Amino acid sequence: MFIYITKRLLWVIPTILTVLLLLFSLSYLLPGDPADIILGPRATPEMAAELESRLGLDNPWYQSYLIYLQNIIKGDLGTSIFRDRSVLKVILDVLPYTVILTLAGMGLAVFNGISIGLLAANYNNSYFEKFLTMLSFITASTPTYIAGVLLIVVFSVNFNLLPSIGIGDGGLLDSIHHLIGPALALSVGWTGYIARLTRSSMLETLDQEFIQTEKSFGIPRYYILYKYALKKAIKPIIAVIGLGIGRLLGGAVFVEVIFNRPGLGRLIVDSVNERDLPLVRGGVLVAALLFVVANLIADISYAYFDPRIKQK
Amino acid sequence: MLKNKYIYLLIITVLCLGLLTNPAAAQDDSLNIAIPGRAQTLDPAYLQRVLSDWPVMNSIFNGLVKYKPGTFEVVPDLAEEWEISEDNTEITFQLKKGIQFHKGYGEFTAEDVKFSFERIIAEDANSPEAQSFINLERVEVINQYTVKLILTQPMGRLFTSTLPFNAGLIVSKKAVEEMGREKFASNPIGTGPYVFEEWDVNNNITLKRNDDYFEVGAEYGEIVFMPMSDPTSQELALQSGEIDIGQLTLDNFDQISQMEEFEAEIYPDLAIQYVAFNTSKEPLNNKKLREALRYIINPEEILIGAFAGKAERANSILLEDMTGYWQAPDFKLEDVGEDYVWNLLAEAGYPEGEGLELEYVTDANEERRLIGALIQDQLSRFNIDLNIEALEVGPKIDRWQDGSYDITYARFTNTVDPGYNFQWNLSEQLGKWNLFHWSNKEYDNLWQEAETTLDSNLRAENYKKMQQLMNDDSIGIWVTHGVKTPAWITEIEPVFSPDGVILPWLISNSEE
Repeated sequence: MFIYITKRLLWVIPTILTVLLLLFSLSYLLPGDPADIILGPRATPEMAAELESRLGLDNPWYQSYLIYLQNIIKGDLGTSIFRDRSVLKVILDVLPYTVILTLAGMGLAVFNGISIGLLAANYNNSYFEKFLTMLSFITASTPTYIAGVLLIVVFSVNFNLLPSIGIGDGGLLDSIHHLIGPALALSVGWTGYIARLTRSSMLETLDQEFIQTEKSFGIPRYYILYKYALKKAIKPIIAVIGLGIGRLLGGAVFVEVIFNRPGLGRLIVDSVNERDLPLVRGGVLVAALLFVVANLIADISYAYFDPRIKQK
Repeated sequence: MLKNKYIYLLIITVLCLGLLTNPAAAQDDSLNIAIPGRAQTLDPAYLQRVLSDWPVMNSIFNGLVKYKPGTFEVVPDLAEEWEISEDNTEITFQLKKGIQFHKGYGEFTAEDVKFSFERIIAEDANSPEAQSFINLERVEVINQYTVKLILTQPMGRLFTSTLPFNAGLIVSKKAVEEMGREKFASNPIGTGPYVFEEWDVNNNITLKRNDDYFEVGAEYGEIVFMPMSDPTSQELALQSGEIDIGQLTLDNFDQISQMEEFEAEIYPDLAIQYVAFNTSKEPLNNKKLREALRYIINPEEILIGAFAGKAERANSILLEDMTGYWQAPDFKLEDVGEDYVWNLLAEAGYPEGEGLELEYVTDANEERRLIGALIQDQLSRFNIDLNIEALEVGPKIDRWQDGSYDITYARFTNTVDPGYNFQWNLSEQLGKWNLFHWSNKEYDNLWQEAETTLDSNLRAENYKKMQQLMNDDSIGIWVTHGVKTPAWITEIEPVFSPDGVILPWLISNSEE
């Protein structure tokens, strides 16, 4: 296990280096003169010169890349063009909100998905199961931004139950209240997926001989289902959660914009709109890191639950 | 098993409790105003985005003069009165006495005026407002309440746009020196009707009423500016009661403005959107052909197609009540008839429009593509082919600057001063922002003359002549100023500037 984890960790390095090279080349690949695009007609030549040096455009590209790498190793992601603050600080300010939102979304998806999946497995081949299957297909194919707008229209505008914007004034209850809508919107797609997965995994498990044996011992159906079958069937689900977190991070961009929440996704969208290159680079780098870490966890948990993977 | 049940129960109880608390718990004394994006700075010398930065700054700071609410007329603000020297290069302001800066930063004096203006023109300031004070040499403090602006030559835009807009806002010298420029940008200290309170992680900006304001104080105790870049989110938040003032999209304007809970109005934007012909390159260096195009391209159709018929036609760079407004004649196809245009095309060397293929450069967004398609359709009726290239900003600006296009569509932000708005068509802007690639010595001279006089009649005369020159050469078509579509809840009565910007301290409660 240790060797496996070390190998996987080593693979992270080239991944991150590639991401860094891509991000770095942004200021060279973007067509047009950065000063014109970022500062517009009101810019003076002095302002343009200052901007070029901040973007590292006054040095040859390989020198700038080395400086960029050195700074990153030192933990310095540069300074935002429009915020007069370090990129790292701007990102750290909003990162917790994205992490909480993603975890809450994942939590809801897992809870709802497993519930729906279990019910579907339990009532296999009934009309109720058909309904649940339909439900999971619908949720699995609803894009996050549609789900977000629908939730706002129904629960905020029509019933006035949930707030549609912001994160609340800081109290725990208020924060949770503001989290429900966004987390639900985020969870919708993954809910359907987990429900499908749970159902098929449960049905497969229920077909196995040890279940038959338990049945013949006269253990109550309820016990078999939730204690023995679920324990085994849930393993592949746990393994996909790591993968799901990466996906949900992507969905968080839409949710944060629609629900007007602070977060990494909205920060990247804002900085792309403002063409704040250092901030775009920093934001995407952190998002990429999160994605890599989530994938790493996914791989390790796969290996943990299915020891055959380690051998490969 | 039982343990798990309790955990679920707990979670569900907490969630339900959360639901019981009333959302939109905005207090009656607090107003939430949506702004279209994150404010980028609250330091007036470094304003970045007018739509998000200006309403906030305008609530916190005062200038020596201001626009009279609801108009572009300039009236005294922090200044009591002023005197202009014979040669128009020295302006002496008498300041109002006893006005206090927020948060105990002391009394407002002539020193603050000197500091606020000179920090903009300082060598190392790198302020985009330096050009707003282009002829300012220095500011002289005569005594505590008297200050003199000394100019190298008269400055036409001083009173129309420099002093009443962000460049003219007075900051506390003590506060800037104490905090430094970077910290001041997010902790502004002014004399205005609202005091800066908080800029939170969600980029909401909270202001509290200044109870010691030197004029009639604001009615609402608290204002929160909420950045909402997605227009649909703004509409939904308005309907769910979480914001009190926001913008509507043109598509939903009629529906929401007819609802009982909301009121809405359409204002012209302080900008100009236009079709520009590249006059320096084949084939549109041919004036006859440009005239024909002015008949063929019909802005009214663009207004209906791309602006839901909500935007007004523009006949000048300027809004109608601004100095120097001149209505350019409308080239209407139905007035002259199609034969007349066919003849123009023939005279220009393109009988039946044959073989004419034009390059059209525009932005890669939906609205601009639609406008391009409408123009394409209009031209096709005269057998003219239009190749639309929808580009990202960077490549678009590249194409603009090297002039590799025949027709383009642009939107330029304006100020209240015509000099600013007319400068992009000067010869010196060739290869920069002169999208007509048009150079006219007479235009340049008239502009220069108007820049250096305070005589508003002379200025008006010159700007009219400049517009006639542009019209005579048929260098393009003014389409619209665009629209702002503020909407608000009926419980309040807001006041807007003529271009639809909210003046937060003048909002009153309509139920009292």
